[in-house]
Amino acid sequence: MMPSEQELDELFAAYREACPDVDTSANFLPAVWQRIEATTRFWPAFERAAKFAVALCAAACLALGLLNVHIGSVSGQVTEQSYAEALASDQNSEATIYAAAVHPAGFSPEDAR
Amino acid sequence: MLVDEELIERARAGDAQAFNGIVNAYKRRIAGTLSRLIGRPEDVDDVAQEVFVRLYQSLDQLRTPQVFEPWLQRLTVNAAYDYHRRSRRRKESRMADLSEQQVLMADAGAGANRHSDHRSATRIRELVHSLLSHISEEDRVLLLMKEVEGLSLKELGAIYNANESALKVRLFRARQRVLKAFRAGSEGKGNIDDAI
Repeated sequence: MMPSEQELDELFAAYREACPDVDTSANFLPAVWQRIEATTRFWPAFERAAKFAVALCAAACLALGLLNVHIGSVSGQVTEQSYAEALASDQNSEATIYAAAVHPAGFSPEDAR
Repeated sequence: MLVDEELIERARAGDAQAFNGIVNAYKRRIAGTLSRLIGRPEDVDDVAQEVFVRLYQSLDQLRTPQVFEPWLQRLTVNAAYDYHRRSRRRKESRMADLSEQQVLMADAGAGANRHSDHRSATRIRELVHSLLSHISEEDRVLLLMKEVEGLSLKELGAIYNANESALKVRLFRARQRVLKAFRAGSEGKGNIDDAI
């Protein structure tokens, strides 16, 4: 005969009886505390490491920021020309090179201007 | 509740003795629930300890002592899920010998409630475990919490933080699959998996 819903209920009830509440081992409570202490030891150490890493990153950011400002001020002293002005002033040397390449012999750089 | 609210409040405040009181009051019940949920007595102590460690870590999140028991049951269910995720060994062993399962089903199906000695208790455990292997681990835990632990839909809703109707549907489907496997085993013909 096919088992009915009721028989399934009976099976679950029998399973409940077949698996009564069990006693834990004698050192259950000490083992729980051991695990708690292990986790509480780990987390503060992790927290300290994380705080140190954050402080290190902040210091690195500050240092890089200062370096950036410093480089900016130094490069401002080197030239105050615009890019176009700098290019124009550097044209002489380029003209010399090209002129030499096109007219390798008997050609004066002065003729290029 | 097995402990009074004052003890829970003291444990929340960091009183180690109060926490010990809670562990001593609930360890047997939690171990019993876990033995039914995970089906491996040798692992029960370990998982039960994990439940109490999680309880200790999360006591400060407990809104009110009134919801302590559903909170503890939720931790127990979660620990059982985690255990199942970690260990797939049971599943393999359950699928190993289908013909033996059919014999077990035929025996137990004849009258599960009549078995009382140790041997028949073992057979009932094995039968239920083999039937439950036909549903997912999540549904297995849910079904056991309802059918064996005797929790109401309302209590399950609180534990799972889910809609009662949705849980009802899920439970119905899981139960139907288990019943189908039970019937297939009792008929004693064909592969149990074919019936699912």
